Amino acid sequence: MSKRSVKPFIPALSLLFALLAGSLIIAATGSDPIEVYQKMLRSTFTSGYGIGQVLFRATTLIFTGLAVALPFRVRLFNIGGEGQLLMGAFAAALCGIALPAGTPALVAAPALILAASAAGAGWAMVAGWLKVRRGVNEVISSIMLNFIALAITGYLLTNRFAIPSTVHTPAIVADGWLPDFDTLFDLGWHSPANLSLFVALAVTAGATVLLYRSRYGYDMIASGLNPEAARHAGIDTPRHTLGAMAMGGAMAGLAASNLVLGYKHWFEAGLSTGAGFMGIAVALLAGTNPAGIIVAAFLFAWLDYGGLAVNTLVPKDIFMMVQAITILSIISIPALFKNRLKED
Amino acid sequence: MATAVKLSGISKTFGSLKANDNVSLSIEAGSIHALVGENGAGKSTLSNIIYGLLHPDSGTIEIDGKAVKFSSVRQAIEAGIGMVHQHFMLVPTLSVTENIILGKEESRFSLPTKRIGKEIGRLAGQHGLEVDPDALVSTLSVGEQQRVEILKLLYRRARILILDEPTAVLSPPETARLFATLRSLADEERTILLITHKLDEVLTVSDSVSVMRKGSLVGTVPTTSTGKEDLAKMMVGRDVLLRTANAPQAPGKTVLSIDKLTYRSPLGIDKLTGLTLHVRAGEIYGIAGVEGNGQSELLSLLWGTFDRGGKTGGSITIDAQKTLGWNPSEIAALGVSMIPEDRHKSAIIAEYGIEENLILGRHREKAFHRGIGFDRDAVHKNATAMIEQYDIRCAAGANPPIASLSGGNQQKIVVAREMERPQLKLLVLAQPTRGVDIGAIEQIHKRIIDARKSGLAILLISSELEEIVALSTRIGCLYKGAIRHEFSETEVWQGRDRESGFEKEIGMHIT
Repeated sequence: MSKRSVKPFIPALSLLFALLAGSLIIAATGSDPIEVYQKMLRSTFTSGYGIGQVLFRATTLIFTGLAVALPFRVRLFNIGGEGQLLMGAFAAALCGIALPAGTPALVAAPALILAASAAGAGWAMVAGWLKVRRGVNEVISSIMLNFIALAITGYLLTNRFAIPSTVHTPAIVADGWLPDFDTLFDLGWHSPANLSLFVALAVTAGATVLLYRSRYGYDMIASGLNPEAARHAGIDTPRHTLGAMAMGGAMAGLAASNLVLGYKHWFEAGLSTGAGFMGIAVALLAGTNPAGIIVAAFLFAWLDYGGLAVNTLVPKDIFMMVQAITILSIISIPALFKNRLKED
Repeated sequence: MATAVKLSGISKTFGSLKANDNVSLSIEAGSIHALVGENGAGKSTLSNIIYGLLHPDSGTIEIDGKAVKFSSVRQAIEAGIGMVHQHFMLVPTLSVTENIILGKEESRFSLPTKRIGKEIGRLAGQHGLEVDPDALVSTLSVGEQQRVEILKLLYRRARILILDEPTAVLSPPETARLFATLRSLADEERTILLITHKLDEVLTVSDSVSVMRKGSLVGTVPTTSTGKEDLAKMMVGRDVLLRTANAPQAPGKTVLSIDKLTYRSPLGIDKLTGLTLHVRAGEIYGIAGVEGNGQSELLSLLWGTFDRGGKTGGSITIDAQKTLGWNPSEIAALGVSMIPEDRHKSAIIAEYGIEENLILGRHREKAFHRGIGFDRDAVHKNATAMIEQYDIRCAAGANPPIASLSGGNQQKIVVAREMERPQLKLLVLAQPTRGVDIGAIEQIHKRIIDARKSGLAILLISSELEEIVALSTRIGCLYKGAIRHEFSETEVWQGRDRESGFEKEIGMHIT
């Protein structure tokens, strides 16, 4: 089999391999893998609450996946999604608290979404600026910026904005809330899934158009594929470095619309639950293809919530292992085939 | 005389491509045998088969009368075959001696560098390969590095030497010196296989020459009984005009003025030292020079891509505008096109299709726009017209990545794109035919002369003296960052009739 024909099946093969490895681990803990997987499928596909949970988690991961995938088109590896998400969520919460009650919902919600994406973009542009001006590797700077963002939001939360003896801020103005699926479709799921999912899908479609159908995308992808030729063609490559980082940061910031506007309605410690980092895995699985991001986000959301749902049978950590093994397989399976081809 | 290498019916297929098709060839011991052919004719495949890097699908190889079947390069080396690749295989952080004995250390624990150094010195003296045995390879010039590569083969007692395009990186005097070395090696009964596409060199140095075309061997002839036109015809398969007609013409007003241009790199090295030249409409100003004398810096200043960390002085005036420090899109908007030195690095995006590459750098033109994106129809029509007009060979209808095209066709795409820029006034060409086949060179040269006739000002930078002499109206000799000597129109006109003498004269001004 040639390399080309194997390639599309690598994610599926990897997942299959990871689930098989997972069943071995489950068996080793003394549980029945089939029973565990059955329960996992039941709780994620047959209950409204379970479906809602997967949708909710997928929404966040679509945003944080795009936060990695977009800068990757210009060969920038944005590891800073977590920090950008925190800054975005914190900005959305503070602005939401500051907005006067009675602001029309059509103004309040977009304003807060804008605040979240601007804060995320601004934070990512610090890494972009360091790269353009000082040649600092964006991997290192964006990792470090994660810690700084965590510390700043943590400090401000505990010392300034949290309601005494809690770890969260006051709620944002009710006009800034995004309606959940129960309200939208009269479902009675009682899940956190909300309007943000549609925002995420629209943003993904927008990103696809921007990348593949616009002149900006032509310039941006050219800068990523061959910066020297792009420069010769009169394309301002540093601007695209900054622009791509800003877009990535805005995506991570937008995840706040799901977490703050759609679900918690405030900022709290541990709000992100590592979704910023999980976005890296999502982008890796999708291969930076925007449509693939949606599929990968749903897959990881399913593993994530599925793991929680079978918590009574096996520890959640098992499914974290399955997630990690999936990623490892995606990276190593192509190498496996390459070696095979050489030996032939 | 004995036969050193005898190939019988060698065939090698890659996928559906017949890289070598039933090639039979004998090379006499102690001779210099040239192997010529266009890119993709199968020269490299054949030499890699002799060197044991590739295994033929069928056919036999005899070395010194004995049938051999190499399964690795090591076996070929043991049979006395050595190869100097186009890109040198040296470790820059090791000394000359260390590089030469690398892989052939006599003892596991001690390196008798002194004694080996002496041996190397003896070999070097014999064949004009002098180079300091203790110098680090990173401090050597390209010519010296090549001498180290040859010494490496001699130290390993290679009897059959394969050299792949050895003169591509050399200045004219270095080339002459290399040829003297090759001759002295052949006199010692060593056999040289010289792979090249420069016909002048073939005629100067070789004893016999084999021509390949599309994987097959067209013929082998003694060098004394052939000429440049014959060889070119064998290579391309049709008559080729080696010298495009280039009639004189009265030049117009000055389009490009470069005055006392200086550039100091961020590392503090003076790359341009007061370069002055003027190019008028309807003339081609050729810059002759050995690479590394400021060509790249001049181009980057002209096009606005230079490292802003360096220091500039003097001025560049294009069409009455002082453009030093402008960025490429502003300069292009004045009606300036540039074909950069390194096509792959700076002129194309390999993953983009032919259509996208044909608008690269011109994608800001309104004619290609629709909404926030491109007018697909306009872009497609543009491509169809250029493919037709510039004879670009590619699969019809489809829009394959440009990387799937041959080097010559890629270059034609760059040439087409840059020459068809609307309101073009000034054309800057750097190595416009590097890595391009003879047939395509002929077409590109014709385009350049047509462009001059239509009243364009053209600045031509090339390391091929032949190209400079054939195309230029005036010639400036670039040496250490300045024009050291300028040949007037009359001088060039007269010089063209006594080509080799004129090239030697230019050679003296650039070294």
